[in-house]
Amino acid sequence: MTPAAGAAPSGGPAAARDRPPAPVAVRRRWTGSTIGLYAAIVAISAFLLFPVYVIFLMAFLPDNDTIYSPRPPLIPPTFTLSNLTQALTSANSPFLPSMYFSLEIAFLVGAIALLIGIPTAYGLSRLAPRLAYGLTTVMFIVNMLPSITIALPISVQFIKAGLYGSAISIALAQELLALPVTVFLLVGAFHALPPDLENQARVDGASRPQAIFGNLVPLIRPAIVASFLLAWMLSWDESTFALILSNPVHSPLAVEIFYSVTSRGNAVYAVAFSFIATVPVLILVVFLQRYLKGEDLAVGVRG
Amino acid sequence: MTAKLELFRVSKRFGDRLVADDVSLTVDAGEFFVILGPSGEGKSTLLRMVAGIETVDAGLIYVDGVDITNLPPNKRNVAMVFQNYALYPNMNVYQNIAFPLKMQYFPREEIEPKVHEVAQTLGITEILDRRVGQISGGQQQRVALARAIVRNPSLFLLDEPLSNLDARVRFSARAELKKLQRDLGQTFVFVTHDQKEAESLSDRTGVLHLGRFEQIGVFHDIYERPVSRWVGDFVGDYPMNYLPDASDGGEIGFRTEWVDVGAGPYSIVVEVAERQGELVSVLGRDPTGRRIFLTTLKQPAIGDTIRFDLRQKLRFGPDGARLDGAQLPSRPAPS
Amino acid sequence: MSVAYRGGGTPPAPVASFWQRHREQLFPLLFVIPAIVYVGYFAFYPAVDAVVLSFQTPIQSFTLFNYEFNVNQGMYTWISNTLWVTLGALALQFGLALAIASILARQFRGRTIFATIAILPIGIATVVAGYTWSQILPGTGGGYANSVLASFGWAPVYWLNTVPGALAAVVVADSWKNTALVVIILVAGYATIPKSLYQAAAIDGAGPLRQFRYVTLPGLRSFIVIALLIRGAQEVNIFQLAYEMIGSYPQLLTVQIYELWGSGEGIYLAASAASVLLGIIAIFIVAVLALGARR
Repeated sequence: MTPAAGAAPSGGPAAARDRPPAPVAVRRRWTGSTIGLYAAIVAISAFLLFPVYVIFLMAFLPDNDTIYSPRPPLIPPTFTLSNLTQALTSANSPFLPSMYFSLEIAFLVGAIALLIGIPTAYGLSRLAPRLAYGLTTVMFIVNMLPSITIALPISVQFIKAGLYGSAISIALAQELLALPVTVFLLVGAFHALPPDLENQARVDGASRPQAIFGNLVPLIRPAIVASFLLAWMLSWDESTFALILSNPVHSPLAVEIFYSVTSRGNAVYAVAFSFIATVPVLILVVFLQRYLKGEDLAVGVRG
Repeated sequence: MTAKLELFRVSKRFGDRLVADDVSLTVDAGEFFVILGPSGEGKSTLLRMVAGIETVDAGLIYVDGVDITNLPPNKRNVAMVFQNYALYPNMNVYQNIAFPLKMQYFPREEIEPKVHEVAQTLGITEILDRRVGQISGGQQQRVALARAIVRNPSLFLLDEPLSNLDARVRFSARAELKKLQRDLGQTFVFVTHDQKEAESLSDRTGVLHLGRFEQIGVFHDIYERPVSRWVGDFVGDYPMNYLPDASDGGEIGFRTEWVDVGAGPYSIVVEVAERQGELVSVLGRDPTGRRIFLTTLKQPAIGDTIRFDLRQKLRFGPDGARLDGAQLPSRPAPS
Repeated sequence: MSVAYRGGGTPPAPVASFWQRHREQLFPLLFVIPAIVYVGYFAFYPAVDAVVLSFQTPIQSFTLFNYEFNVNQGMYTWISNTLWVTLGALALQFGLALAIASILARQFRGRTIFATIAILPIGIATVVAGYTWSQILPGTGGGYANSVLASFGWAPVYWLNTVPGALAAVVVADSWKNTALVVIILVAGYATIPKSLYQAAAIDGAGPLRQFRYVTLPGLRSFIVIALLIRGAQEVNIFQLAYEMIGSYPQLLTVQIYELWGSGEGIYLAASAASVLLGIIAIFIVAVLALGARR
């Protein structure tokens, strides 16, 4: 397409007859604003990609060429897999157990988000608008409360209850960040359904819970999947609650990495391990992106 | 099973808006009753209270003498067809129709013949395994009806089920609906703002205005003898014409077709004349400046004077109520 | 002809329980109760608890000692550093996010790739991002940013040697990680602005800048408020990322809370700093909500 368009201005009458308006449009787009556009894209992309490249270098280069080098090379002079194999196989490497622990917590956060979030979102979508608005605002405020402030008294409570350091206790705290987002997404999805669908099911003989869970919930399955994944990801990345509420000898991955790069352990092994652990999350992000830019978010914001 | 529906002094308020104002009504078993009224005057709310998806603030609802006022919708055995049909989009046509039976825990081998029988009646056998998104508006309406019929309810509630159809389909759907109701012999309560539907479908019609039945009766009677100016204006293709009544300060009301053009005590000066088929619609003003609609056979010129007499006329008092014979339901003074 | 029945007196109230009369409104309320109980117990109760703790010591039930101690340790500086980072990060993130969202609102070759790059940092864990940026912008005169400068023949920079420099480094790193979230919200906002408004503005003689000022910004208003709320509160909370880059100097509120918490009986001292953090966020929430409610 591009060659044809570029050739057209000097091309014969046949080419011009084939697609008369295209050449002019394409040529105009390549002046000024288009060059500026691509310059901006390249600059922004460089800024966003550079740290990812640095992570890659730290993961696959010997530490003498990365964190211990006074002038770390930008072009890799050599590659090594030893950081990764050390992180995975060394006898006292904490990363695999802490990753399993993180997975457990993240699935709990996702599950609780749906368990509480679906009924809440349904309720908010049916309550009087003023009341629903008030409760939504409360959820927003919860999302904004400083984690570290909340975590301190909670840690005291958990120690008293003997729950300190358990997956469920960390999940319940992280849920404060995940639940508002889940509710927000699901309210939008419930609002998008025709309201008479539930009424019809009830008239047809379904009890109200039957109508909700049998007729409405299957229709918002995409939003449910998206909010589960989002809650899962929030937990995976969360480190403040995780840091304060977990036992240092058995902590989630984010906390283990934090310890490795600040106090104990090996920073480069941590980076290498997290690089591998990040790949599935990146795939998830790309998948989520399709959903997150959708209308549902817009509905949620407006509503 | 067919049942009688009774509403006894039902009231409902949304915020400070009274959508049902002390409504009483009896619909006989097997009757096709149409609730007619403009949009936003509480027609649908009334139907929803009967279905149980709205609660009542006061009053009682009986089906066949049984008080159902406080029952949830799934315990009422009342079927309802919503304006947008509310077909379950994740089910195919068969599953949609079978849904009410499944909710009553019918075994599969009983569900299947029932669904097929109803589909046969409504002529939708060929589309039973289609998704509901793939069928036309007319077919959707039939599926919604089939889903209502299949469970053999005591009462059918229909909320403007024809308004989403295009004009061509609507006409035949109306006729089929009437035939279906006759064949079933069931009680239908049908809500509409379209007086044509009320005219062709109803055994009786109730005209709802400001949350209250202003007049209940056979449609033709309501048309010929509205109890108030409001009903007269709302029912009919054209609003009623009014002339001052010299005798008592009220008004004379008449419909266009009650006029004999040619001679008589009344006259208008023509302002607009438009031929529509056989007849000419004429808009003119009488000597006091009121607008009058007439129909004539010959095309008059603008500015012509047309004289006419009335075969039939109604007399309204200054408050808008009809004087000769009818009574308006008493209405408390506005507070 | 019949006329509707109308009797006198008071209509009969249905003999019904409170639940039966209000079931349509009560039922959805029932569904939100678990969430209310949950956030009440896990968010609001601990928040109050933190404030209560801040006025206590192991031997005293009400004292201002914790606040006085922290002020003597320089708490005003912790607060001002935190606010500078917050303001800087919000400015950088919103500037960058508006630019990215404006680009994504157009159609061009490679749009999908750019969209993916734009949200990529969401997938990198905050603790990893913080460490990576500590290797890009260290205080030693080394690091990857200086490697880039060196390849152009420029002298190395000691990024963290001044307080503003260190805070700016945190701002850049944090914006790298978190701009994507703002982008997602703004792109959703862009989708709600009708294209015809731009055509109308163009016909009325508005250039790209004035189209941005009079069409884009008003259209994105509610989305910007939402994004500001979310991000602003999270910026004040910035912790691990900063800790990994600059350690505990220049001091930020969150890092100080962590350090105090880790030191013996420090939970009471930590609670007082944590209460100050809570107060800042409360002010912030009220301010943005008031701003959003106007107009």
